[in-house]
Amino acid sequence: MAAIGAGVTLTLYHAAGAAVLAFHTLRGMLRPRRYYQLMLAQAFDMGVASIPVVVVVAALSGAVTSQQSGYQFTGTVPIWIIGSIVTASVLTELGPLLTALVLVGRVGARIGAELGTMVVTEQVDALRAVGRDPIEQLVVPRVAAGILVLPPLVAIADFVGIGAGWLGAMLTLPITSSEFIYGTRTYFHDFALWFGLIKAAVFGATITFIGCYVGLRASGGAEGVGRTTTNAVVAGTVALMFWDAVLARLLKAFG
Amino acid sequence: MPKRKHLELWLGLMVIASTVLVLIGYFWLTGQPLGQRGYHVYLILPDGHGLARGDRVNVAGVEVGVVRSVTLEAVDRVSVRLFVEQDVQMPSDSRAILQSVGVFGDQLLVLRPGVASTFLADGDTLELGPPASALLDLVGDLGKDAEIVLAKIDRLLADSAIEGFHDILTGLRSTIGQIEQIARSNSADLKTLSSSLARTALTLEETLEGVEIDKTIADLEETAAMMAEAAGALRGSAESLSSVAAKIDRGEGTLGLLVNDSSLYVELRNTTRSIGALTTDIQMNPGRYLKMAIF
Repeated sequence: MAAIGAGVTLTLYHAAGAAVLAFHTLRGMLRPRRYYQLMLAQAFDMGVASIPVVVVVAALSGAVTSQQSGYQFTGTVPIWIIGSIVTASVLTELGPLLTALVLVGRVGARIGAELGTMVVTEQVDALRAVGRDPIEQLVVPRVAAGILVLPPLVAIADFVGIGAGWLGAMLTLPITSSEFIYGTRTYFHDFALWFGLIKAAVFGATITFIGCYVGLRASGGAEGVGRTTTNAVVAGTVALMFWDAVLARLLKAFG
Repeated sequence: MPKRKHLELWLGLMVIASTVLVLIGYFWLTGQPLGQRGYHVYLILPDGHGLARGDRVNVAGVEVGVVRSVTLEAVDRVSVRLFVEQDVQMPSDSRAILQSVGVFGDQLLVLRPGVASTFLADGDTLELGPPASALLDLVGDLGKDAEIVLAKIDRLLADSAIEGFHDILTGLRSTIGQIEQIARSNSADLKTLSSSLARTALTLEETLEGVEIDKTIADLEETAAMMAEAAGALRGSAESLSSVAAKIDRGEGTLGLLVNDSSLYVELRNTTRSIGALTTDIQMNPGRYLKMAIF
């Protein structure tokens, strides 16, 4: 009972802390001139530098989806349905979610470690001492960069994923190019495309915000920084899954 | 600030590239090639029949456009916005017909050209034609059937066919007269033949009603029943034998093992040989095996 109470207290503590940080972050984002320069560096690192790994993951996921669905559906339903499955899967789930998961490992962990190190080495305190707001200097540029770069990355992942799905189907399944294209167009709903991009922006904000929140709460030297990095990845992944489930309901409501 | 310009350049390129990809993908997936020129017309329907954005618009079996949007304006009023390619000029009294295609009931809009001298322009509203080509096809089929029936009736009522009927009737009348004449001239022979047949039938009837025949039939029936019983027993025995033989063939049971397993035979021979040797040894050296002592 005591453990449950402690868990609830801890959850409420983190929820309140995250809410306060979110409020300050949103307020800071209203003044783009102050963080524009810092955001550019973060966005380059999160976006342009992540393109190769995002392309590889998207290509593999698209190809695997087409092959797997092909093996499952060959002989039972029209073969062109593979085009529909690949398009819907990539646009609504694989594109945004896999790209975000890649960025949790690549960006979320880095932000957690970076800010954690700054906290344990008292660099954050130093910022405060010279009159700089740590949230404006550290959190806002990262969160803004996450919101900015995730949708373009997901758009690239969608394009590559569907292309790889088409190529994979051509090479391994008894399907023609026109059949695949017919399938992609037949059950395509444009809301799926826009929804995937909206999801990407939410995921970008989530990954960076959680990385910042966990990083700013680091304590205990090098060991604490290591723990912070792990926490940033775990919490970021769980939060992504949570948003994915919640946003799926919204897709159903508006799509 | 070269560093800043470098970052802005790469980020800008990434954003532009992804925007272009999204636009290309969107227009490609919705079947609207980028830069294609055309005009939009509207169609008001009481029922959408599953018509959806992206469905094809055909003229004479050729795809010339696409359904851009389907909007439910009231419970009995659906507004459809169509895109038609620029070079397809349709008379202003053209009609649209909904057709169902494919196993999933996908809809297709077919434009049937009218006869007006003016052409549809951007924003015009089309009239809905009769449901699909089904009615026209049905009328066409009925017309073809009617033509076939009329042709057959024409052939039947032709002068040559009527003359043929006259010839057949004349021949028939002549044949009936000949049959009457034959019957009249041979009436005495026919009477004799008839009485002879009657006598033969009576004799046969008496023979069949006799006691001996009844007894013989009863005996035969009894014998047949006994044979059937014997055959049943024989069938059972044969089945049992067949089952036993099958078990032996499969190597089941002692006999099966003996028949199919050569090792048993070898062991049996060895055992026999050993018993023989033992018996000989007992006979030669009884003291080894038989001890008799009082104390």
